[in-house]
Amino acid sequence: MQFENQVAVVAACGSDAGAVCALSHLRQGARVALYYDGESRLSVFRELSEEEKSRLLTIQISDFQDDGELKRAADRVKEAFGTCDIVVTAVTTMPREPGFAMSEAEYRRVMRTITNGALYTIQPLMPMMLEKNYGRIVLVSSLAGRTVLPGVAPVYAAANAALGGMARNIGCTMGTHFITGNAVAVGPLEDGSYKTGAVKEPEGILPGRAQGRLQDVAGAVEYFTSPLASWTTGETLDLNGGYFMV
Amino acid sequence: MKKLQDKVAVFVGGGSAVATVALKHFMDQGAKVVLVDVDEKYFGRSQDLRAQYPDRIRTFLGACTSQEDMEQAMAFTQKEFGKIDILCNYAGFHGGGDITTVLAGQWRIAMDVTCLGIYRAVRAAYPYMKERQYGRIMNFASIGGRANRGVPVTYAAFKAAAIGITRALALELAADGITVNSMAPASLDTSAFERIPEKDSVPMKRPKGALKGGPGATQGGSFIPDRPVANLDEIAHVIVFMSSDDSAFLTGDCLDVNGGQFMQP
Repeated sequence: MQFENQVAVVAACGSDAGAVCALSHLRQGARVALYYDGESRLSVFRELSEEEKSRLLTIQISDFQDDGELKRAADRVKEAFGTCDIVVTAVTTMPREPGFAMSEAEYRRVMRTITNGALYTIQPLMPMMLEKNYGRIVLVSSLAGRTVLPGVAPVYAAANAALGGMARNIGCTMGTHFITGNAVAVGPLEDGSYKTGAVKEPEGILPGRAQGRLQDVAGAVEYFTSPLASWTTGETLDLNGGYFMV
Repeated sequence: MKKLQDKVAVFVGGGSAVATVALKHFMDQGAKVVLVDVDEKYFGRSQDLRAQYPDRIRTFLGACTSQEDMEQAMAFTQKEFGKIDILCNYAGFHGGGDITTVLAGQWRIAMDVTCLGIYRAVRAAYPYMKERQYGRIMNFASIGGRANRGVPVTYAAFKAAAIGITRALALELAADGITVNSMAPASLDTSAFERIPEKDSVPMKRPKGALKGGPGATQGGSFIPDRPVANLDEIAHVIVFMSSDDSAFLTGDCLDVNGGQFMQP
């Protein structure tokens, strides 16, 4: 199994995509720590074997903007597993107010949840990857950070674009430690998450596949987290069912 | 015919070296400009130009981290010069550190200045531009937000965010005759200016893995042999283009000005 003897940390907020990524790594031999926002995220783990359950650590995070809470979560990962090879951040939130008229409190919340959620998940796990000169870091973001659609809140577009910038920077600065950094920019998903907020949500071009499946995200993330993906770094994979071919 | 004849521009972060050279070009092209910055000391750079054009340049103390300051800066411009045609957002925060070392405070400031600063300034300028169904907004980003470079992660993330917000604002404001674009220069020659340390920045070492440029690049990064970095007059030329009627069909774009560092599809 490709992730046997590896430890993956997955942050899942605002979407089940992270939980499904965690499940796929677990099923392929990894020990997995899942940071999650609400109990519903754990529903994908209902049918685990006892052996799989023994490799899963779940840590509820009350506020993905909070660096202190995410640092404590990393400490628990170190205590439980001793190391970290893979970090996947799938931390998102949808704006709750109309785009251009958004209040300062709301645009800070959107920006901080999405960018802090990624930064403070990854940062405290870095020493474990630096120690072993190996790491795979993947940031899941929204299509809204890559292109523009009528109705998308500007700050939501900005926050998701920032994740691409972070992935490139991690790829560049951490490459010397054989740590890769990449992003997956997803279109709207079947569980209703990762919408763009557009007046008309973008759709994929494949028949019957207007939205992405959670497993599509897991597949793309798995490509980047695999030991065989050592030559791909600083990239953003656009996962949107071919929406860009219109 | 001058490209910016009788146009009125607001330069947020107007005390920067880039903005000061752009100011000269705006004066050459017939514009009036209000410089907005957080500290009087930044206006020292434009002292000679302000003495040369006393009727066409004003200064205003204000921070792009405050919506109220931005509202007041735009109201001041309207009062002094009667309209707002152009908004140039130069304010940005480098910060420091890579993913392992970046400090929470630096991250917060970078978010607030480099990305949300643009948002506040545009929201403040928008009513004036909407009323006249005309506007040109230029957001000064960087190659750091586009490419794999060893800039601080604060810069990489929030310059990318600035480019992202540019696209969204371009679509939002298009129906009101307002274009919104960003530009992403690479290294600049600011040697003619005395360096003013970045306010609130905590200097940090460059990470070991930081790249300096692609194979074949000059030391400054460009692929033009005798031109490693851009001079500020060339950058100003781009800003004038983006601010003028010549760029009426350009919107939501990010213009890379980097001496050929991106020769890729």
